[in-house]
Amino acid sequence: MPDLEKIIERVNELAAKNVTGTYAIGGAFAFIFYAEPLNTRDLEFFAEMPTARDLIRSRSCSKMWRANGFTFERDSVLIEGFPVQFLPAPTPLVSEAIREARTVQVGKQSTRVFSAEHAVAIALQTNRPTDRMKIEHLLETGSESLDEARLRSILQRHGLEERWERFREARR
Amino acid sequence: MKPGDEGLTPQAALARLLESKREQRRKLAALPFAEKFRMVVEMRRLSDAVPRLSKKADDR
Repeated sequence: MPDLEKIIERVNELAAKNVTGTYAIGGAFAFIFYAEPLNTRDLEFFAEMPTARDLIRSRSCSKMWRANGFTFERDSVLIEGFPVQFLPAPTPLVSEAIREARTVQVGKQSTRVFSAEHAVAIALQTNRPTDRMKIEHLLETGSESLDEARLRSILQRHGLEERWERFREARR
Repeated sequence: MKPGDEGLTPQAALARLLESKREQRRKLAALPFAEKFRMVVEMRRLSDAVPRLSKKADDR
């Protein structure tokens, strides 16, 4: 069975070789870190490098991944048998989430995960039904409460306050 | 049934049930990240198995 510590170990090796640059876990797994597990297809690492997607998909890089024993499943690289995606930061909000990610320990490995407030703000920015469902999921089952002041400040900086109000209104 | 449950109204019983479910979800949320990852792998395996089973049924 795929093991998170081993996956992170492999990703940290890639980061040490400057393949991925500074990264943080985002997407569904950022929510899973703070809340009840939910079904998801892959583990998303957001990396602060504009060409991350191109890098992973380019022929030479694909050779490098294969030479290092990695295989592919759809858009993802299989690491320890689990699909992993390396994605560039598509918006200033995601860049900020990478910079301000929380450092966490998984066994002997250290990794970084988006803060719960950034995970919520990014989901609001993307705003698909599945993203709103993840926010709802976090609010219902989160193991720690959101830092309201921090969330407000992020939402304000990225022009998402109105969307947040609409989301809250819809929950009532 | 716990002592004191006998006199519960249906609404109170439902509220107790929902609270117990919420408590269970909070416990899952508090598990270590690696443990939650293993649960996701299991969920993924199960959801992958469902279409395969349906396909088998279609093939019959």
